[in-house]
Amino acid sequence: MGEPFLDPWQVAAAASSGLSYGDDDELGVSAGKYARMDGLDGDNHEKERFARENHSEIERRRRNKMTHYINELAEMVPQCAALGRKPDKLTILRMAVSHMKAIRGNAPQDEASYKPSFLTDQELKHLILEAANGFLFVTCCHTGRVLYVSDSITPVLNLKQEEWLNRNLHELIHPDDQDKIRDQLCGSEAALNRVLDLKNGGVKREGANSRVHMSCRRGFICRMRVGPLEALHRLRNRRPLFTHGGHTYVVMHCTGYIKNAPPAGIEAPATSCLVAIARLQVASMPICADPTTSTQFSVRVAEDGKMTFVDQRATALLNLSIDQLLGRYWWQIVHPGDEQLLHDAFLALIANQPLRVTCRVRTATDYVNCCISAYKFLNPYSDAFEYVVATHQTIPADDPTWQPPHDAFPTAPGQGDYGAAAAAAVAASTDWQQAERMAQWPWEHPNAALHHSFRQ
Amino acid sequence: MYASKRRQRNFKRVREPQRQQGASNPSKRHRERLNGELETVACLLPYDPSTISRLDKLSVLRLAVAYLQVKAHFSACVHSTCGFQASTSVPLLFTHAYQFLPSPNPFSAHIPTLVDSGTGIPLIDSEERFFEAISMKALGGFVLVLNGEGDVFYVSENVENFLGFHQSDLLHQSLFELIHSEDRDDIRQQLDPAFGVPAGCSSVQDLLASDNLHYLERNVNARFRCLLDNTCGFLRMDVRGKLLSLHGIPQSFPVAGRTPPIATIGLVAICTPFVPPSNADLPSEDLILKSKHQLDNTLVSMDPKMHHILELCDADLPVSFYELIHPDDATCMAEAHKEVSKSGSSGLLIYRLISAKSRRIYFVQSSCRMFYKNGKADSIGLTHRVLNEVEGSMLLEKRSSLKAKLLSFDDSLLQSPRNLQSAAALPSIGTMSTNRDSIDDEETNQSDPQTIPTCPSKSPTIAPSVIQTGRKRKAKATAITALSNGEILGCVDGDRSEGRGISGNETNIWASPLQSTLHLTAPQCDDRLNGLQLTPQCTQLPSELLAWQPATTNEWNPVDLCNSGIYPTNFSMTYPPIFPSFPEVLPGFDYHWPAANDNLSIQSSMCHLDESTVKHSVIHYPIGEKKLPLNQPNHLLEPHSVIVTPRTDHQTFPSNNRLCGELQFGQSTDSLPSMHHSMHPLPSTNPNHFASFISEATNTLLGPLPI
Repeated sequence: MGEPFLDPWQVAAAASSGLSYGDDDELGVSAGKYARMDGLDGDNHEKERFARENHSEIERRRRNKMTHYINELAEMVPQCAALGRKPDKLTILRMAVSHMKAIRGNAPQDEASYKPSFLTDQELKHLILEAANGFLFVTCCHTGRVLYVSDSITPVLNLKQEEWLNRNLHELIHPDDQDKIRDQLCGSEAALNRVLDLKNGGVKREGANSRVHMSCRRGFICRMRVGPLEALHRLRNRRPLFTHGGHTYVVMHCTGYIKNAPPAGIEAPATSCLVAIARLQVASMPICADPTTSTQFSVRVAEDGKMTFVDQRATALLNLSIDQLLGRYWWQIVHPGDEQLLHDAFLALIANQPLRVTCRVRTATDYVNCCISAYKFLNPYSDAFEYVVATHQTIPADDPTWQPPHDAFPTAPGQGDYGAAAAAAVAASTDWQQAERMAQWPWEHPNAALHHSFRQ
Repeated sequence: MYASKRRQRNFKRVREPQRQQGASNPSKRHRERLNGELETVACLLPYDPSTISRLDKLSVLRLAVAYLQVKAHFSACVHSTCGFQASTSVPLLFTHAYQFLPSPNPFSAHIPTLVDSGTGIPLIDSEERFFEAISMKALGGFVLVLNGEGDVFYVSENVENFLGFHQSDLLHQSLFELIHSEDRDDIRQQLDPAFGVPAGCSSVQDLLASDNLHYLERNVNARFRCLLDNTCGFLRMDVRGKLLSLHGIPQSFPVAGRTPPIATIGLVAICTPFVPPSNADLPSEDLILKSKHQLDNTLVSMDPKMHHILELCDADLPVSFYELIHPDDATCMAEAHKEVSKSGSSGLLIYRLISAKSRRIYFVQSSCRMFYKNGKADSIGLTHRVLNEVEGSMLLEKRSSLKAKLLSFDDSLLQSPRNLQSAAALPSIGTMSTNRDSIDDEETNQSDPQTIPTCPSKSPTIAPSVIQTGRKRKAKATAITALSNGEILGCVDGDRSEGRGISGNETNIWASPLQSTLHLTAPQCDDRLNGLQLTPQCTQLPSELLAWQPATTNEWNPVDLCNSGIYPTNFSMTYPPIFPSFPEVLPGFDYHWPAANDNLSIQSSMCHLDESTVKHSVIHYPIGEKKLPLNQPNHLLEPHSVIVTPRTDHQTFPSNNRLCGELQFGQSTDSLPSMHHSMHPLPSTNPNHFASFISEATNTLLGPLPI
């Protein structure tokens, strides 16, 4: 591109900030044109007029700016501050030079190809730690082996680098997230899922397709193992922690990219690696954090009453797998004594009666009281029935009179505030993020503590 | 008011060797000595020589101060304890969550990013081995540290990849110059330590006690000024981090005899874009996927990649799209569905798709557009961008927030037109009423598309297409007339349109409630105007999409693309598409205007963008909701009009205007009259000899869909 174009207003703005205009001052800056314009005859006119009027003002501001910077420089240089009175400009500059040389001298250049940088690696790492509680790691895509992890892992997860280096990433994350990590490491051709077909000696791909990635970038959320918790006071009271098999895990956001060599598109050949930064998620925007959704799960029910979708929070809340629920009739998830109630309510809903009931929902071992709300989702264009969306809100065991807040349930389009539905959906985006929000913004709910402890 | 691209380069430090002539006076000698020291300072800055040579004197000083401040901060961190006890002489690091303990070698070992497939030994890529480059690339954003005043204390070098500004342009400058003026207050708010703190915490000291440290966390999004091509001047970024005490700033510098230093509270954050710019450090294969739906949103066809994602084969189609969406997002899609049925396009929506067999969740960002046939709504086309989980959950959580609604009409999609395979899907003329008066009651008539009478045309089947974007504005008869006659449009930016017979307000008629107006008149045939493009008669997309092939004779043979089956469904774009509204490009076609004796109002054509012959710029200027006084940046302006001008090498854009897209056209000859800067309207010596456009800037971008 060519030189910057400057509008009259910009000339004025630049002038007011004292930039780069004007002619000789004591530092011998040569006078120069202050703007380049091409083919802007009409505008030149204005600019010149502007310039003439403001010229001295521009110049004065520039000199002020220069002085200001030199004063700032003086404050940053210890020798200057140590002098009794403010030294002259030349002295300040000279002292600044020696100070900078001293600083630069402390950072040895390790080799010829050393790249000059404002911050040292350590300083940058520290900023990443402070801003994002993050550390860098590299794993081999094919095997999951960790090839590198920065020492920032210690303050974040209280693990030593050696506990990660050369280990398999899958051992370091929550077992339930392993499939997701496998998906992220591999491209759309799942190399890991190839299975030798013993009959004909061919290689066939087994199992479900793996995830389709659209680019080399990766971003995923997983739960990573933490070391001894006592030192991690930052974590203890704040983040949702998960325990499994004697280990504790914390939610981490990982962003990075797949490094291929040679560039081979978005699939991951055997030599490629995932380079990523894992970070503890910092507070998200305090939007309508609906505290009740952490104990909620939704289900999609077809016209015949069978469940066609169950969201993953059900697994955590009920200790049942999705497969155990899909395809069953919706009323089969409740206590036999409540089946008729739910069944009838469902039929009533289809006949346009609103549905809001309380039932005992089956878990793997027991029943839990849930407040169930559902709406008929109709196609906005044709008004055809699509399905029923049912939300199940667990009721705390010790307070049978507890009522969910008025906006706890998503409503059908047009019935409620779009924002509320979206907020609920938002809060439902990842099941374990709910508890995080709960912990950060205490609300007036009497059973807040209960809800919180549920997740521990 | 907004930062410009480069500091002026005029004021090189005087570098000539000292002359021996005695003619120099003491003041000149003094000057030379100062310059010499300044030069030395410049050389000590941590930049490569070519960058240093571009710095003017003020910048050298500025950067030197910035450098020393940063180093002083870390030096203080090393020498202080990270604790919660008050210390009398050394500033506290109470906001620091982590201790800064540099090892003797401040530079890490090189980082392996590859592995040998045979032996499994990690390998170091010599091109990419330094911690800074690797971590910044993985981060997908840049690191920003602000002091309490909002000045940039530090910004990482990769900011250049996102905003186009070099690190040296930004250090020790006020960040607010870089932020959209509407968002500045948000940033200021975040810098206040008391923000978000419940009433119980009375003082800053309370706040900084260990239990309350989480109140220091910050998350805000703002539009940053962006100089990169193919953006509309701003990049919306998510700023996520926390308040941090800074110790390098002079007030906090411990000096004997001064008042006890206090730490200043600044902000350290990671800034990531909502939509990565197209020339970010990673080659962005950010592909856009498209799908075609019936009016009730039943999915009938889609890109092959979408088949993979959704795990559906052709036999599974058609299927209700709502079955593929996470039920908690059904409402969101329904809202968009209603919107597109009403007004022809929806905003951007974020939702989750579930793959049919393995039930994988994909976060998707989409927009909808109505396609018309014979004046009636025929199908809905959706354009999708697949997001990863981190981006997706971030956007999903912002879905209901107020500012997120701005995303729909925002730069997001316009930011990377390069990635978008788009074609104009223009609402049909038939959907617009011919009642001019309805334009005037802008409050009540939100849902109807703008009313613009069409250009009188001799051709029975083809009428000027009008795309509608922007907000509804009052129409003025004169402007309409001007358009009807194919007269030139003035450049639209609130300030400058005054001289051209079309006032700022008048040009605002192009704005309609939800979309801008694109009014096209074809030039009279000038067969030298190769490569100039216009949108097709979009009411007839896709089946009547016509392309003109170069003919060896003067006969023009329209080719019915769809019937001939030559329409590729997923070729990759090798050149940037223009604006979302513009039709998709078919490589290999040249588009000529028919012979001069045809009175063309609109030609159906595809645009051909050949970067090698790019000579024209189409600059799309936003237009504002209100006429702003001169000297005010027109950031409130919305995309509005487009001017075709020949491009010169010195073509740049005033940074006060928000560019919503830039297109370069091919021009095989210099047939177009020479034009001035894009701020001026095209000369209208002969209204038959050029085309005027108002660019579209709806939020939806779709291409012709595969049949």
